[in-house]
Parts: sequence; C-alpha cells; structure tokens
Amino acid sequence: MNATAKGNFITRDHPYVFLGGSLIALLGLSLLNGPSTPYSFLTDNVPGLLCRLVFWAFLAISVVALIFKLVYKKYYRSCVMCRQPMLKISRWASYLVVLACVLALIDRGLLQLIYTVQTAMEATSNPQGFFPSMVYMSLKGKDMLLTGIWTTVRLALLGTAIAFVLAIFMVFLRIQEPDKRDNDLVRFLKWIASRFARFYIFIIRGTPMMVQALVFYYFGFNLFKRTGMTVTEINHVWSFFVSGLCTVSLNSTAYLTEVLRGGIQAVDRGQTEAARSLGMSNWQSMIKVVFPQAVKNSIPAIGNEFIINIKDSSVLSVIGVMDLMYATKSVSGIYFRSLEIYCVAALLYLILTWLSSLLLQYLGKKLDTPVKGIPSSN
Amino acid sequence: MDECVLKIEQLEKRFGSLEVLKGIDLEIHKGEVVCIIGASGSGKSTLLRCINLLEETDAGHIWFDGKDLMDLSVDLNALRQKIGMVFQSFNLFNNKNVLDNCTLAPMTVRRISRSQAEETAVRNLTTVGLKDFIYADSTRLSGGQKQRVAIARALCMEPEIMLFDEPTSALDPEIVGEVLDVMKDLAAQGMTMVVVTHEMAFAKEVSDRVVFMDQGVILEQGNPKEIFVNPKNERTREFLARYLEDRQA
Ligand SMILES: Nc1ncnc2c1ncn2[C@@H]1O[C@H](COP(=O)(O)OP(=O)(O)OP(=O)(O)O)[C@@H](O)[C@H]1O
Ligand SMILES: [Mg+2]
Repeated sequence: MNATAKGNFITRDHPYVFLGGSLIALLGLSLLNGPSTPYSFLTDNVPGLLCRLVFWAFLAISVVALIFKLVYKKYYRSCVMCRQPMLKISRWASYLVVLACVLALIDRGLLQLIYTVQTAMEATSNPQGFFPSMVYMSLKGKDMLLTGIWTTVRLALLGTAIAFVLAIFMVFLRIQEPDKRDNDLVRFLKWIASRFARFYIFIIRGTPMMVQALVFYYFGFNLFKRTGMTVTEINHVWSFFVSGLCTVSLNSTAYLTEVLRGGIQAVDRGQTEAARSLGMSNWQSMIKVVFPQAVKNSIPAIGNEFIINIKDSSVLSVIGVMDLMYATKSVSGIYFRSLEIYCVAALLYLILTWLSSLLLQYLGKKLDTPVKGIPSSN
Repeated sequence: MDECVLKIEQLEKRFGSLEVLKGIDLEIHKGEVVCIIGASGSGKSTLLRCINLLEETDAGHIWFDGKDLMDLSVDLNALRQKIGMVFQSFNLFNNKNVLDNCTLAPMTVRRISRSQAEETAVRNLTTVGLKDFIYADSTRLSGGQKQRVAIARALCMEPEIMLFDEPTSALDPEIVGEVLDVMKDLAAQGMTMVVVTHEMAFAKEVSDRVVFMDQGVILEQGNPKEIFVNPKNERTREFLARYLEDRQA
C-alpha cells in the first residue's frame, strides 16, 4: 500500500513542482559551491558543470513560470505552462534536478565525511575544525570511551536488576497495614515495616544521587578502615565501581518501590477480594494473584528506570567510577578540547538510551502477546 | 426445622457517618435458597460482603459453623473457604487461565495435589458447561462465561453456602439465562444459597424465601408467593409495583 502511494507521488502532477524543484536546485547549487575535497567528482569538470547547468536551467524555467503566473493570475491554470507537453517537460526536469541534487549530496556530504574522518585518523595533532576534532578525539580516546560505555551499561543493567529485587522486598514492607485481627506484636511489626520503607523512600528521593554516591563511598571506606584494612585493601574490596553500583541500586530501589506500589494499587480490588473470599490469606493472594499482575503493570516504568540509570550514573564520575562520563572528562583533559568531546559524549548517551528504548519496546511487545489458547466464542 | 447454617444477629455496619446496616437478623437454613431484593443503596451488597468479612462489621454476630465470625480470634481463612462468593464483576484472576482460576485456591488453601484439584475443576467446569474452555485465557471470555467460571471456581472449594451478589447485573440480557440456569441446577442439587438479585422471575421461581431490604433493615421476608402476590409492607408493595412498571415500560 505504501509503495503504490509512493509511486503515485512520483508519477502525479504536482501544483508546486516549480517551487519545490527550485528549492532543491538551490540546495544543490549551494552544495556545489561549497568546499570540495580530493575525493569530489563534481568539480569544474564535465559532470560538475552538467549538474550546475541542470540547476540553473530549472531555475530559469521556474522564473518563466512565475512570470506567467503573475501575468495571468487566475487563468494561469489554463495557460501554456499548465498544458501538455509543458507538464511532461517540467516533470522530467524535476526528476533531473532531484538526481543532480542527490549526486551533489553524495559528493559534498558523504565523501566529505569520509575524507574528514580519514584525515582526522591520520592527523598527528588535534585538528582545528569542530567536526574533525570530534572525530580525532573519539578515535584517539576510543579505548577509554568504550570501557566507559561498558561500565555505564553494566552499572545501569546490574543496578536496575539489583534494585528490582530489593524493591520487591521493600514494597512488601511498604504496603503492610495493621489489621484489626492481628495480634499486637504483628501490628507493631507491620507498622515499623511500613514506616521504615516510607522513611527510606523519603531520604532517597529527597537527596541528589551525587551526594548519595559520596556518602555511600566514604561511609563504606570508613567502615572498612575501622576493621584495620589498609587503603589498597579497601580499594580492592570497596572499589569505586562497587560503591557506585551500590549507589545506583539503593537509589533505584526507592523509585522502583514506588513504581511497584503503583502497580499493586492499579490491580483491581476485586482480584484480592475474590482470592480472600476463597479462603486465601492476605499473603497468598498477594503472591499468587496481585503481585504478578502488578509486575506486569510496572514493566514500562521499570524499563524507564533503566534508561534513567544510564543517564544518571554519569554523576558517579565524581567518586571516580570510570563510566562514560569519566572517560569523556579524561579525554578532554588529554586533548585540551571540551565542547567537541562533550558533544561526542552526549551523542553516545543518546545512542545508548535510544537503543535501550527500542529494545524495551520490542521486549514489551513480546511479553504482551496473548496467551495462546482456545479462543472464546465471541 | 432444618439445621441452621448461618445466623446473623443484630448486624450493624457504618461507613463513616453513613449507617448502612441497622441491626440485621437473618437465619439461613441448610439447602435453602434465599433471595435478597431491595432498592439500590439499601445495603444488600454490604450485607453479603459482611457475611464473609470482606467488610469488617461494627456490631453484631455472625454464627457460621458453630463459630462467631466477629470473634477476633477465629481463623477467618478457614471459615471463608466454606463460604463461596460470586461477584457482580466476576473477578476472575486475570493472570490465570480458566483451569488455574479453579485450581489455585484448592491447591494453596486446602493443599490438594494438582491432579486432584484439576479433576475437581474439570468436573465443576463441566457442570457449568465450560468443558471446552479449560485452557482459555480468563480475560477473553464473554461475561456469561466468566460468571460461570466464577461459580465453578467457588464450587471447587466445596462450600457449605454460596453468596451471589447480583451475578447477572453486568451481563447482556440475552446471556443472563445461561448463568441463571447454572444457579437453578445448583439450587436443585440442594446447595444453600443467598442471592442478591433484581431478577424477580428467578426469585419467584427458585427461592424458598425472599427477603426485602430497605435502608439497612429487613422490612419483610417470607415465601415468594406471599411476598410477590400479597406483600404486607407498604414499601415492599411500592418497590414491587415500581419494578413491574419498569418491566412493562
Ligand atoms: N466502601 C464504601 N465506602 C463508603 N460507602 C459505601 C461503601 N460501600 C457502600 N457504601 C454505601 O453504602 C450504601 C449501601 O450500599 P450497597 O452497595 O450495599 O447497596 P446495594 O443495596 O447493594 O445497592 P445496589 O442494588 O445498587 O447494588 C450505599 O449508600 C453506598 O453508597
Ligand atoms: Mg449491590
């Protein structure tokens, strides 16, 4: 269906063929007048001149059409410009213009890019231009950046996974509600559990992750120091990565707890009531009926948390976790250029989050496929 | 008189300042089918939900199986499994297929083996006419099918009494019959049933006793013939008259 629509678009007569074609011609001309590289095949040679000729010729016809339009105004539709064979000619001319413009794009766009990358690779010092410098630094700092990306991905993946497990535990504490039929001890424990979870969420959500990272790191460091370990030993056990991972996990736990709680609340109360009316305990109906549905409700939000962790783990570079942000800072320190390499970092983060969201969408669709069974009668 | 299965004494229930049940006394005997009728908001659902403590009550006693459900130390889960409940909105477990809906409670509560639970489930699903749907996704059934599964699910716990809260109110008129037929069969088999319903024909035909509730009290109860043909209470007469008008309109 799409293909026929496209075919129609190309073979149809368009009212704005001159206007659109002229814009394309102007774009092509400006490209050809821009700087060329040794790879360019459209210079002042025959193909180059031909392309220019096509553009100028089309612009000229367009100007004529414009004059006709201004002169005839209302009757323009029935004048010579709008009749065969002029229609046919203008259509073919517009095809030529598009072809020439594509050639110009390949020449001054793609080949230019390849040339820039190649020169940047061979360059011995950081090139002057913005884009060449980006390419140069990305290539020179390739190993650092790749290790950084790998660390960031590991932090986000492991962090979200650990947080999910902890959040399951935490949400059970959070939703405890003292019941008239419990004995005093159980009631007290439930109250404590719910209070604890609320307090935890309050603290984590109310402080920046960067501060949390520093607090966790030094807290752990001092703790290990008390046991009489040397600094090298501590760095081995309580490494930047381990403490960073703890930060991400504990931070996400708070958010995922709220996500799961929302998921539980979104499950219809009738589900619990049906389970309870069959004699299932509160715990049984939670585990067997409500929680599986709550997790399913929460899957999109859990995926979101993963993407947030990809981005927010960048603050861990303050304690020295060698993630993508840290790697970027290091590269910038080596080559004395900031804007260019931070743009590279932004691009890399964007690619990571974009790929993750594609992946999550795909997984979400897979999980939602209806259970294959005997279909109902209606 | 037959053995009394359920006895409610002076039951009271408030939602905040709203008094919904104002001292209900009701006895249900073994094998009896009792229909509760009454205007919207008169507290019928609340009464049913109080019977198996889905709502905590404020005062009164509910005697079932020789124990008072209002006693805070009774094992509520043990008593509840003998009280089946069917809801207006079906409330099938969305994350389970039809068979698992029916086997979940027997397996987790009564700790019956899977094979035995499945055998019971298939038998009950066959009774309600859904033998061909045991592996179907419970969310993809029609309303009438869902409600029949819900009945089978309750039956799998082998209850001593079944509570129905407007089991056909959420159904299209043309499929109300399939659910009512199942309930009639159940009544014929001697199941003790308490049915809140607006299906007067069903109440007239199947029930042994009709209870008319109004604004949180039981105004009148008795043989369906008495109630429908010759109601003593003014409000009952009004209610039934209005109901018949609606029917004819
Ligand atoms: N959870 C609740 N919180 C507050 N008020 C409630 C609650 N449940 C019911 N009520 C109120 O109690 C009254 C009785 O409700 P109930 O559902 O028992 O009526 P009903 O007789 O079943 O009516 P219907 O025929 O419409 O189902 C109504 O006024 C209702 O608004
Ligand atoms: Mg009701």
